[in-house]
Amino acid sequence: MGNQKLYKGSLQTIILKLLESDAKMYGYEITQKVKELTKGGLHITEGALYPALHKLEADGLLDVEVAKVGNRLRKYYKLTENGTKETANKLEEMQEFLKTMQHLVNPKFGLE
Amino acid sequence: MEIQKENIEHIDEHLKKMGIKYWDLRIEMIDHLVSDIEQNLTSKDFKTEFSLALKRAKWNGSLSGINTEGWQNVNRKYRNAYQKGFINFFKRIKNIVTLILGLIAFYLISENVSLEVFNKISIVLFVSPFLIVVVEFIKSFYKKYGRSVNLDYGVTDMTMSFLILNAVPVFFDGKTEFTQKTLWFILLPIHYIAFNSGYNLYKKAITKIEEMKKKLSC
Repeated sequence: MGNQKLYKGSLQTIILKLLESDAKMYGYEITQKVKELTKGGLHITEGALYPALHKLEADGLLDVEVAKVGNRLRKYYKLTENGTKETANKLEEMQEFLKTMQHLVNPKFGLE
Repeated sequence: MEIQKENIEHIDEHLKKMGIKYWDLRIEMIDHLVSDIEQNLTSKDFKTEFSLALKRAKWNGSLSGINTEGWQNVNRKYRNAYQKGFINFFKRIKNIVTLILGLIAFYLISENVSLEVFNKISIVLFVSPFLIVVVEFIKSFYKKYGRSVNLDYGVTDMTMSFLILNAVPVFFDGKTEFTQKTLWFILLPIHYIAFNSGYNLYKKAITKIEEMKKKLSC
């Protein structure tokens, strides 16, 4: 889908927002949740999701919990204290960005 | 169709063959592929389903890029924690008191022995944490943790201060007694605090690996 490129820069915000709503999530669950919420409009590729999750973990925004599911291990991600603060900042930035874009693309109709 | 233990082993072997060298990087990919197979099941043939899941995830070629990205992220995580550990050392009164007492003892030694003996004592003090490294190496060798990215970076951080600082004493030669002693007074505390940070990280890495191994085996 052509608009995938537009979403690319927002991937970290999307992940943080999802984890703000759910206490903990695993990789595959995140891809499915995004698909469900966007009614298939956005498909997060595995090649983008996992590096983004690992980066957020390395930056101290996410914590990992490992649990056994069936015959395998599953890594659950959850927000750290810093992650919760950063989510609020990122969402605010996103709102600002959307407002600016709205002014540029369609000056007659604001988001307010 | 229930995904059996042999199927998981097959996926693990495939990912390893395609470039994911570390088992602790593979566990998440295995979970993703198995979850996808379970969700999109159309036939009863595991190999067909596995091949389709690989295509959907675009993991049907070489995976060495994912492996590289994986260890780079783990490296960053450990490096951040290493720096934090170094700084956090100074946030505990107990550590500060130990450091001051150590420096006083070191000063008393420096005042009561010749420069030659002082240098020898300093070298022994510099090398002594390596005994802990050797003991940990032997322990981890017998525990057979496999190729783990957490273990690799735990070991790197534990030995980091040796790797960086071991060449420094070479430059002490030919300096005045005061300069040599001052340099040891600077070098040893930095080395011990850095080693402490690396060793704590190594222990955390081992705990993490053992927890995962335990969960996998039960």
